[in-house]
Parts: sequence; structure tokens; C-alpha cells
Amino acid sequence: MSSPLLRFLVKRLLHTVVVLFGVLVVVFALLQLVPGDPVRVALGTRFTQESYDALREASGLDRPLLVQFFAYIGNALTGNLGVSFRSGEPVTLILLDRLPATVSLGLAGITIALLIAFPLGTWAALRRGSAADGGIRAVSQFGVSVPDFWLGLLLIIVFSTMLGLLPPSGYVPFTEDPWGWLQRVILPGLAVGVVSGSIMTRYVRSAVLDVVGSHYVRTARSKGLPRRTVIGRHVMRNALVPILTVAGVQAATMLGGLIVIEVVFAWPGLGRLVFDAVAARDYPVVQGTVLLIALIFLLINLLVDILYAVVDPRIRVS
Amino acid sequence: MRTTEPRRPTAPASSDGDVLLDVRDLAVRIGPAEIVNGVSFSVPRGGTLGIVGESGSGKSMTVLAATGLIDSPPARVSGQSLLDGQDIVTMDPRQLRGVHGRRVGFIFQDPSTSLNPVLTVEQQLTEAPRFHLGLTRRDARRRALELLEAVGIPDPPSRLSSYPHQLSGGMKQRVMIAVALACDPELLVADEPTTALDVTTQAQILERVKELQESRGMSVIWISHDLGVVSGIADRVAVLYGGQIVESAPLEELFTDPRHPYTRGLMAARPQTAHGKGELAVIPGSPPDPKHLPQGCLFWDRCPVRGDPRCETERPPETPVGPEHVVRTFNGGDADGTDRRGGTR
Repeated sequence: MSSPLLRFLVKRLLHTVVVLFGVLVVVFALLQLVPGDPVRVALGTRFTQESYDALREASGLDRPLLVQFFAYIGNALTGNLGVSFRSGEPVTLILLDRLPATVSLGLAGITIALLIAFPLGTWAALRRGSAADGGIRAVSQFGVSVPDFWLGLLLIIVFSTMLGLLPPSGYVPFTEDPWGWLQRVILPGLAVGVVSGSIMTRYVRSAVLDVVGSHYVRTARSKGLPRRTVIGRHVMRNALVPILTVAGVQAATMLGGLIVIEVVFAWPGLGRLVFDAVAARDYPVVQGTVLLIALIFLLINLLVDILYAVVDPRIRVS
Repeated sequence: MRTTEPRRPTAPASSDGDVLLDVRDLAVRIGPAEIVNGVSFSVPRGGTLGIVGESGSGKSMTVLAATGLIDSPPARVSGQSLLDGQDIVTMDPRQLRGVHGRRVGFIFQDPSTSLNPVLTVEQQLTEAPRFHLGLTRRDARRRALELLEAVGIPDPPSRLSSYPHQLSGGMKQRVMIAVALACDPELLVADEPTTALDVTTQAQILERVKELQESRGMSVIWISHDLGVVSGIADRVAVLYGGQIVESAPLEELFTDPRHPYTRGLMAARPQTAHGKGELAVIPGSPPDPKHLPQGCLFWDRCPVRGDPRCETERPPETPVGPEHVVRTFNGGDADGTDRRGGTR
């Protein structure tokens, strides 16, 4: 039973490593192509030819590209992503400092999205053609069309400015003050969660509809099982496979959306970090953040694939 | 909109009263489509009824409606289907759950899509007995092993933990049969269960169902588009066309003395009959569109012997032509005069 699953996991993990190498190449190459001289920017008004040469040499930017690349990979693998041009701090430390904020916001967002999509999508599918189905489809269509940052601003205006119920921005680590964290994560979480939740509602609906019409659900009904057994055991488990795909894509897409949302809500996560770093041409920080986001992306995909294999025995073999 | 035909005394089979399922004037409408149009038949206890017809003749719909497994809405079902005197057509979902899986078991056409791909054989085989009979996990498991043994699956203990994709088509259909028989039903509905299988497996499945039926005293409704398959199992055959029974007779009588031109066409279209001629006989044309049924006989446009002036304007009623033989035509009732080989070129 577990041996094909294990083999699947190992194969999938190797695959991830290969993709990760590709990511390293792309991240490195991208920044070589961006116009502008990072060393000049780093020095700013302190620029002299001597300090320029010194910094170029210290950061290794005077060496041939290929040498730079392999040095970069070697360092990256040992957790050394260089130092920030702006602050002089190690990039790895900066990233680790920002990571929890983004992860907690991302988890809140995807949780809200799932809490919206699963009940509404299933409900709409099981009552296909009813007023509830029509209503849910209309609302989700609206949700899909709303830009998340606009929704964020609207939420701030309504819940903070007008009603004064929740703080408009800021972040408290969950480990320090869970209640404070929750109060602050709700609005940005909603801003990203409602949009992906709306998109996913439509996928959940069509996935459930697909399965409800299948032959094996007819078989389940022909056994005279209670409706909730037919739905819970036979329908949902099979509908989960296509839904997982979309949930993975949505979680990954959400990472991109977080950049804007973190700026809107003054959320000190990776999104704000990369936003500021790009503006300041802080190469090592941009490189490091892109690499980390790519890594998170890969991990999400790996997680989705593992869940696939757990849910659907057929995937373990192929 | 046409109303259902008035009730007629039909299907004189099993007048001895030992009837398990008695279907009277069953009709099914889905939107404007008239899928089943006044079908009556009965299934004796321990007996086998074969229902034959081509694709779109309404044979599956008839049986699904008679056993309450049809979705209504959208389907609208009228008429009666009495299982031991209780009308399935008017049952609520809770009552139907007491019938499905418990008193009536089902096997369907395509075994590869009829089993749930993400559940093991054991999970699919034990859920009905655990729910209907209140068996414990262990008892249900023991029963599952017996069932797999009974349907002829080698090494049942190792198959319990298999998933459907690990089984061949024939094995899957055996598992389906085991699922259908899990609660010892009085009636087994087999909806083209051998169509998706190769000929050898088909014969094995047919044989197995026959054995199981005899050992359990179960009634069977066997649906097929293939007269040859039905002849291997049925005591009595009903031929369906356009959602109506056009002819119904005991098996041998139907084969030796078919009265309806459509039945004769089906006989002639069997590969065995065409043996030596090198060409298969066909019935030209296609079944009527259930959304636009003709006013007269449903078979009129394909009928090789139409001649009666009523054919085009009136639906022929079910006419008894023997003690247990009824036919729905204006042109086959007389044993003489008509062309017995009719319906083919």
C-alpha cells in the first residue's frame, strides 16, 4: 500500500529539485538583464571611484558571470543569499524575519477562500438550477471581477474607518498575541480570500456536478445509502481531485496578490519587502525574495501532488 | 401533449399470483420527451424477465423508473410499480432507501465507471450490508469474502484491499455483482451488464448470474440490446420499441413464433442468422424521436409489412395472440398471410 506512495513521493521530490535549479538559473539571469548599476545605487551620494570598485569587488560583481553564477548557487544552497545593499544585513535573516507574516496571511487567505468555496460550491451544485444556485453563481461572478486591492481599501473604509471594528493595518506575530494577530489578519485575509474563494466556488460547483452525474454515484445511490453518505463518501472525495488542482493554483496566485495587499495593509511580509527592494535596486534582497517565493510555490505544488496521491489511488501508480 | 394510454389487461404471465414486481402502465416524461409510454410487465418470484431493445428504446429508463432509481424531477413518472404490493412510484426517498440495495440490487453496463475509483473493493462491498443489515465491520468483511468467492473472484482476501483500477473489466463486473447481491436482494436488475465485456467474459458472467439466481431464488430483470444474450438467461422476453412493449412472450415462443415485424427484424439482425451470407441484416432507419412521437404506430416508418390503414393514424393496442403472448401491431396478429422473414433486406 505505502510502497507505491513512497516511490511516487521520491520521484516527485527529485522533480522538485530539478525545477528548483531552473528557478535559480532564471532568477540569476533575470537580474543580470535588468538595467541599472546596483553598486552605484547602493553607494548613492557616497559615490567615489574607489568605494565603487571596492564594493564591486567585495560583492563579487567584477568576476565573470559564470563564476558569479556558481558562487551564487553554492552560497544559496548553504543558506547564504548575500547581504542587502541597503542595510548590510544578511538577506537570509531579512527573509526569515518577513516570512512568518506572509505565511500567516497566505494561510488566512486560503482558509477563507476554502471556507467560502466549499460550502457554496457544493450547495450550488446539489441544488443546480435553483434560486440559491443562481444567487451563488452571480455573487461569485462579482467576486471574481473585483480587484483584491480595491476590495482591501473598501474593507478598511467600512470596517475600520466607518465602523471602527478592526484595526486598518499593521501586524502582530501570532506567537506574541494571537487575538491581536487575528484582528489584524481578517481584513487583508478577506481581501485575498474573497477573490480566490469566488474563483474556487465555480470550480467546486462544476467538480461536484461532474461527480454527481457519474456512474459510480448512481451505484452508490442504488445501494440505498443515506444521502449524506453518498455525498460525503462518494461525491466529495472524488470531487476533491480537481478542486485540489485549483486550490494549489489559487494558493500560488495568491502569493503574487499578496505583494499589493501587503502594501495596502502595511503588512511587513515578503511582498512589501520585494516591493521596496525593487524600488531601491537592492539586488540580493530581490533575488532572495524571488527565490524564496519560488520555493514556496514549489512546496505548494508538492503538497498538492502529495494530497492527490493520498486522495486518488490511481495517481500513485502512474 | 398526449396523455397516457388507458389501462389494458396485459401481460397475462404469472397469473398464479406469485408475482414479485408488477408494473402497470408505467410512463416517463422528461420535459417534452416521452421516454416510456405505458409499459406493463410483471416479474415472477424466482423468474427472469429479459428486456430487449435497441439504444434509445427506453429499456433502461423503464426499469430505472420501475425501481425508483430515476431522478424525478426532472423525470415525471406515472403508473404503478408494485413490489410485493407496495408501489415504488409513490415511495418517498426514505422508503426507497429501504428498497435499493436491500430488496433490489443493481448491476450496470460499464463496470469500469460504475465502481468508485477512490474506494477499495472492501469499502464498496461492505457499506450496504453495514447500513441495511447493521453488520459490524468484521461480519461485513466476512460476508464480503463470501460474496467475492460466490461471484468467482480468485483469492478474495487479497482482492478486498484492491482498488477498481487494479482489476480487469470482468473482475470489476464480478465485484459489481457482489455489491448488488450484498444484502441478498429479492430482485436483481442487470442493465446491459455484459455489453462492455469481451465474449468469453460475457458468457462467464451470464453463467454466474444464472447460478446465483438459482441458488438464491432471486428474480432477475436482464436488460440487453442483444437477443442472443437474453436467450441465455430469460424465461420471458419483452421487446421494447419507442418506450412501448411491442411484443412479450415466453422465451421459446418468442423465438419460434415472433409476431411483431420489429421482433422479426431483431431476430434476422443477429449475426448467427446471417451466417454464410456474408452480410448482416439490418433494420433500416432509427427509433422515433421521443420529443416528436408519431401519432400512429411508433414503428410505422421502419415497418416492412405496414399495410393496415390504421397504422399511420392509430397506435396498435396490445393484443393477446397466445396465452402468454401479446403483440402491439396491426400486421402480425394473424399467423398466416404475413411474411415471417419480414423486416430485413
